[in-house]
Formats: sequence, structure tokens, C-alpha cells
Amino acid sequence: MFAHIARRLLAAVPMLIGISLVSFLLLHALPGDPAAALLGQRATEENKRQFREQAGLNLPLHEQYLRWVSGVMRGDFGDSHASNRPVLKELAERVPATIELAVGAMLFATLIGVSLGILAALKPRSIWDFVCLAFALIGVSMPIFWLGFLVQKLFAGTMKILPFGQRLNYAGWEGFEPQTGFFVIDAIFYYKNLDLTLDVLSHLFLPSLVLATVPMALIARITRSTMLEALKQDYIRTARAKGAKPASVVLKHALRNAFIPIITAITTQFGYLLGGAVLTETIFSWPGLGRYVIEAIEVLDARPLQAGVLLIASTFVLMNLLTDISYSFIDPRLRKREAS
Amino acid sequence: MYRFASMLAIALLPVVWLSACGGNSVPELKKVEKKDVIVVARGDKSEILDPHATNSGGDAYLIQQMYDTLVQPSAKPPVRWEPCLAESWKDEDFKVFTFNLRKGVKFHDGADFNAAAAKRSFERGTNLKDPAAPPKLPYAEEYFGDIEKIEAVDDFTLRITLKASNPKFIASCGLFAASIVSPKAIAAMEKEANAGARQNWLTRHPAGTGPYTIAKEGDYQGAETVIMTAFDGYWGGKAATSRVVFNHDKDHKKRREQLTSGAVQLIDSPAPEDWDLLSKDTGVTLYSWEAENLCYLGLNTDAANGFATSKLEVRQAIAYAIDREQMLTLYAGTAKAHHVLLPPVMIGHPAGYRPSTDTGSRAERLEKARALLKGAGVEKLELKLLHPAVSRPYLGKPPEVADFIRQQLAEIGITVKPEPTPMRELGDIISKGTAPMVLIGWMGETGEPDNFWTPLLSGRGKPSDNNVPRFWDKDVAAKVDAAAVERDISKREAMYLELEKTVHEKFRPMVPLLTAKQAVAWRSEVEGIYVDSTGTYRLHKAHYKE
Repeated sequence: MFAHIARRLLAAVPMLIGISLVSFLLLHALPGDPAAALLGQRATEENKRQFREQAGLNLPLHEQYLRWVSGVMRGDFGDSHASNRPVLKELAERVPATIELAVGAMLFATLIGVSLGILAALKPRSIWDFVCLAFALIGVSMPIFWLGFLVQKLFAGTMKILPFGQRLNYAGWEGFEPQTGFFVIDAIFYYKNLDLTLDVLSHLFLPSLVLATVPMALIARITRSTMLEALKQDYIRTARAKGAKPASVVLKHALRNAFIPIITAITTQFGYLLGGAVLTETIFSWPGLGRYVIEAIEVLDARPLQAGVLLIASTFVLMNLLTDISYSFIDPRLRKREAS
Repeated sequence: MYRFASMLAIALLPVVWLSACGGNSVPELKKVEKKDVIVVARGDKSEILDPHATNSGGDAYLIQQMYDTLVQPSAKPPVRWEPCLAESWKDEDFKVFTFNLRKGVKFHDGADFNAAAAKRSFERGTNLKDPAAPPKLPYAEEYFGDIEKIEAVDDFTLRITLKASNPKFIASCGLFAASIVSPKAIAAMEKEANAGARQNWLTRHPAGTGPYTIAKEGDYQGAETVIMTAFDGYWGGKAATSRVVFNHDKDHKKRREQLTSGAVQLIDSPAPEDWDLLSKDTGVTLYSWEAENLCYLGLNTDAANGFATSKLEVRQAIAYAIDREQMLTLYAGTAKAHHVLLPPVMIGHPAGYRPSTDTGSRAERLEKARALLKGAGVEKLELKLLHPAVSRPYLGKPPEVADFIRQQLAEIGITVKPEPTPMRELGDIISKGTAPMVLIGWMGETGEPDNFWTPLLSGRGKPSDNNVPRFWDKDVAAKVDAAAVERDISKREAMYLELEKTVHEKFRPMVPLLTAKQAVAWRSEVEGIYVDSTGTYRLHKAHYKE
């Protein structure tokens, strides 16, 4: 199994190099002078000239790339000209917000999606199956911005039981300082405050639910089809003949064997969500990575843009890598093949 | 077992991380009661909270909660200048101004306010070469460019001597750009080698004397959320509500929903289509007023930039092709078509006058526009049109208005490419004149006609930073300066009328489009909010009804 993991890790290296190249070249792809993209529109010609020399923008492209990569390896992503703050510091604030939202969304998507998929597969062509498929279709096709506004209006505007957006009711807490950047963890383990935890969770609920709709629908459909396939297999008939309980047949025998495509769907979707959910983050004023990149594009702020793209693409590679590795855990045939 | 152990390890990772991070003691966490917080939802963003460095209204509203000026506008119109950090003042022929300063005033950072502090703040805010200056001082040249000398006569007497008599100087001292910044903060900014860093310094460490401050760095969460805390040492008595939170939200429907549901207590610049709904809501107070503002299309006149708009015929053709009525449909009856520079509420507004490009039927005007373009040898033309990326009080829907302009100019063969641009970038582009057309506007801040003429169509020896068309004519500039100091009202009005005629008939550097009523809406259970005579909402007296 370790050989399998090592092979996968090695295969990811060229991909990461390619990503770093694309991210680096973004600076030169932005309209206008790279020095202006790094310093902002305010920079004078003299500022730009000095900066070109200091930052090595006059060097050949490959040398500039090596300089940039070595900086990135040391955690130096440069400074944002819009805020004059180190990009690393800003990413440290944004990434946990995106991870928290993605985890919340994937919890919804997996729990509801897998349950609906199983239900549909157990009663094919029944009303349950129809409802699950319709639900999946709506989930995939409903525009996020519309759904977002709808749930805001209903739960926050009319019923007043959930907040409109943001990660926390900032107005309502004096002295709150993020520790890990993950507000749920901060509230539970650091502040150990139930009210704060409930406040954070209530803010996470609606954006997670809205963000979960697309992956939920995909997971439900994939679970349905793989479970249908699995339930027709001989080993299921054997398990039933042996007198296994129906729940055990479904969850232990069928679901486990159907799980590889489901895991692939879950991790791929999680990779997408970690890339920052621009629309959801915008609708719910969620200060995550997706909005960070969009804000950088709006003001042509090169360093945050490079770092954001690098991070999003690398996350995607990492998620695929984890998917591959997880197969070895789930599928004993793969482990045996590795062992032999 | 092995898998269980791996999963447990992964699950515990954040806890281990937290333990590593949480070496310090847990900061005291206090739940703030609703009655102690006012939440404001805004369509605008605040990006540069340095009073000297910005010219964006989005920044100004927040700056005015944190900083004071020597004089302040009256609570009710018309604009009069009243004591603030200066308890009284006198002038000698509008040339030498002596201010008696208020005693016992403290800055947020603990520094004392006195004449030396006021002098240092004026120096930083009016001189780009000052070691603490930000990269740009958008108001410095036209409002403070005539300062000859600033002296701290004694601890609480400040004397400012001008190069020439200027009756509107007191109004300039009431602008947010003349906010007094702590000398301690200015000394800290001097240590920053990078001008950009100096510009952002005050955003994270505000150092004024106003009722609210940003208590800690984390309370400024980018342009999205700004948390202000009442300043205990405010000279006017601590603000009635201890916290004010400003949230940015682009979506006007969401802002309206937040207000009507009580999730926020105030929204500024509600969308015109929401006014009717808000005014019918018994839980909401909608306050609207005829504002000193103008929305216009600036046409770059500077031949050095090489844009086709530098030709008078092209600018006139554009003016002929504009149809304001179509744009007004976006304002749900809250805006009026406008054809001149000065808004109707101001002295010098030439009621009844319309430039020749704005008369006649649309068909006739389009024909004239095409003929002008043909005469200028410009029959197919492509022009960029920059507009603010966020809504403005006079321009609620920038992309839609820009699109109307695109459609209208297409009728005379001009292809327009609208480009939404962040306000902080737009300011620089305007001052450098690097765009052929900009859809923008202006909000008066002093009640003076000169507050429109000098920044928008004149300057001090050169076009001002806010002069979108980069228009410069020596005669016009001289007349603008003369009108500003004319004390006979009827003569002054005649001078402004002549200026309007000359500029629009002879030069056409801009196409005024409309003036819009402005509004602020707040929850009726909150009292003490007021909008001053310059249209700025003030929150330090706001509190929930008992």
C-alpha cells in the first residue's frame, strides 16, 4: 500500500510544477505592466522602475520563476498591493473560512445525498425513487444565487431564526479573536462557550446547506446507481440467504462495495468546494478563498491572485491524491494486489 | 483498528493545532446585548480609512464617525459652519484665519489635541512631500493649495495664512479631508518607507478625536465588515451606543430584507425601487432629501492622451445622442434629468437653461450627432466607458446606466465597452486621465458652488485630481476663481450662469445626466440618528428607545 501511495505522490509532482508555472505566468498574463500589477495603479514610473530591479522583473523569465518558487516554498507569497499586507497572513484568515464552509456543505451533502441514494436504490421506480431523483435534479439545476436569496428571505427575513450571512454575529461579541481561524473549533475548544458555538453554527447552517445542493444531488444519483448495481450481485443474495439482517445487507455488504465511486464523487466535490465557492461566499458575505481571488481580480492584485490560484489548484491535486489513497483503505482487492 | 486510529488522529488534528496556538490565556469574551449595537448595511465599501488619502464617499461616511474637523456642518440645511475642534475663529479679510481650539480633547491613541497637533495634521494632509504623506492627497491642491503658512501661535491657537483672500476656506476646513489626525500616528507613519503602507496605516489604526474608533486591528475586516467601538474619551460625551458595525452588502434586496426583519438597524442609499416599500413599513423610518449631487458622463478632453473624445465634435455628438429619460426609469421617480453642472438646490444653478445639444427631438439630435462625427472624420469609433463597480448614492445601478449609454451611442456608430472599476482604482485613473469616458458623479460637501466647479472642471493651475475630463481652460479657471470669492450674490449667480453656458456650449467636457434624491432608512426603534446638512448620517447620539 505504501508503494501505491508513494507512486501517487510522485505522480502529483509534475502536476504541482505545472500548476506553479501557470500561477507564476498569471502575473505576465494580467493586462499591462507586471510592476503595476504588483504595486497597483498608484505607482509612479520611478516606483515601478525601482521595483522592477528589486523584484528581479528584469531577469529572464526562468530566473524569475525560480525566485518566486523559492519564495513560495518558504511561505513568502509576497504582499498584496491592495491591502499592503503579506498574502500569507490574508490566506491564513481566508482558507479556514473556506474549509469550514466546505466541510459543513460536505456533511450535508454526504449525509443527505447517500441516504437519498440508498432509499431510491432500495425502492426503484417507486414514489421514493421518483422523489429522490426529482430532488437530485432540482439540486443540480437550481441557481445558487436564487436559492441563496430564497433561504435568506425565508429563514432570516420572515422566520428570523437564522442569520443572513457572515461567519459570526460580530456585533454581538466583544473580545472574540479567532485562534485557529476555524470558528467552530475556536468556539468549542478554545472559548468553550455554548452560546458562541450556537452562534457560529447558526451562521454556518444556511451557506452550507445552499452550497451542499449540487454535490448532494450528484452524490444521491451516484449512490443510487452504484447501489442498484451492488444490490443485484450474487454476494448480496448469498448474504440474504445466510440470514443477514436487512440493514447489514444494505450498509455492510452493498454500500461498502458501492462506495468507491461515491468516495470519488465526495472527494472530487470536496475539492471543488475547497477551491472556494464564489457565489455562496458572496451571497452570504462569507470571507473565504473564492471571494479573495475574485477581489484580487477586481483590483488586478497579482500576488493574492497567484497565491489563490496556486492554492486552489494544489488543493484539487491533493484531493485527487487522497481519493486515490483512500481506495486502498476501502477496497481490499487493491491492498491484496499491492501485497502480492 | 489501524483505520480507526488513523481517522481518530485526523479528527484530533485541529484540537492539537488549537493546543499549539492557544498558548496564551483565553481572551475575555463578552456577549453584547442588542441594545448596545447598531448594525449598518451599506452598498458601498470602505477601503481607505485615511481622511487625507481618499476621495470616496464610501470611505467618508466611516471616517466622519471617527474623526473631527475644526468646524462642522450644521445639523439642518442650509449648510452653516459651526464650532467643532475649534471653539471659535476669526479671519482678516478671509486671508488669515485664527482658530481658538477646544481644550481637553484626546485622540484615540491617547495623544493630546492642541495647536501643534492640528498644525502637524494639516501639514501631513496638504503636502505630498511630507514624510508621513500617503501616495495621493486628492483634496490637498484645490482646497488647501492656497495655504501659505500654518502656525501654532500658542497651545490652543492655530493660525492659517493663505496666499490670497478665500471666503470659502472655512468650508474647506469642515471637509472630511481636513480631519485632524493624531501626531503620534503621523510619527508612526513617518517610519513607513512605502507610501502605500502609509495610506493603509490609519485604516487599521485610526487616530482621530471622534466618537467612535476601531478598537483593535481585527475589527477592520477588509472592506466587508468594520466594527467601531465608542471612544471613552470623546470630548462630546461618550456615544450613546457602545458599538457600531458596518457591513458591506452589494445586494440591495438583501439590505432591505435585513432592515425590515430587524437584523440591521440602518441602511444607507436604499435602492429607489425599495423606497415605497420601506416608507410603508411601520417599523422603518425612511429619510430622504434633495441632495447636492450630480451624475455625469466625463469625456476626456486632453489631446495628449490620444482619445477621440479630445475632439470637440465627438464630445458634442455624444451629448446629442444621450437620452436621459431612459436612465430615469432606473430611479423609480427619485431622480431628475439634469443638464448643467450645479444641482438645483445650489446657489448659481441656472434654472431654465439648457445647452443646445440637449434641445430638439431625439431624431434631430441623432442626425446632428452623426453629422458632427462625419465632419470630424470619425465614423466608426470604439470607446471604453469606466464606471464604479459598486453603487453610489447618485448612481444606484452603474452597469445598467452604462449599458443605456452603450445602446444610445451605438445609434450614432460609437461602440462603447463598459468596464466596472473599483473606486480606489477609478480615482487614480481619473487623476491620470487614462480613460476616454467615465460614468461617475459628485456629492457636494460644503454647500458652495465652487465645491463643484473647482474639483470637476477646473483646478489650481492644472486640472484637479477629480477633474474627470482633464479639462483645462485658463479663462474658465480664472472665472471659476473669481466667482468663488465674489460676495455679491446676484453677480455671483450671473458669473456661474455664464460659466455653465461657456463650458457646455464651447467645450462640452462632460454630459450632466441627472441629480438623485438621497435616502437613509433606519429601524424606528432607534432614535437619535440624524443626517446633517451635507447629507452625512451621524450615529453618536443613536440609541434604542427605552
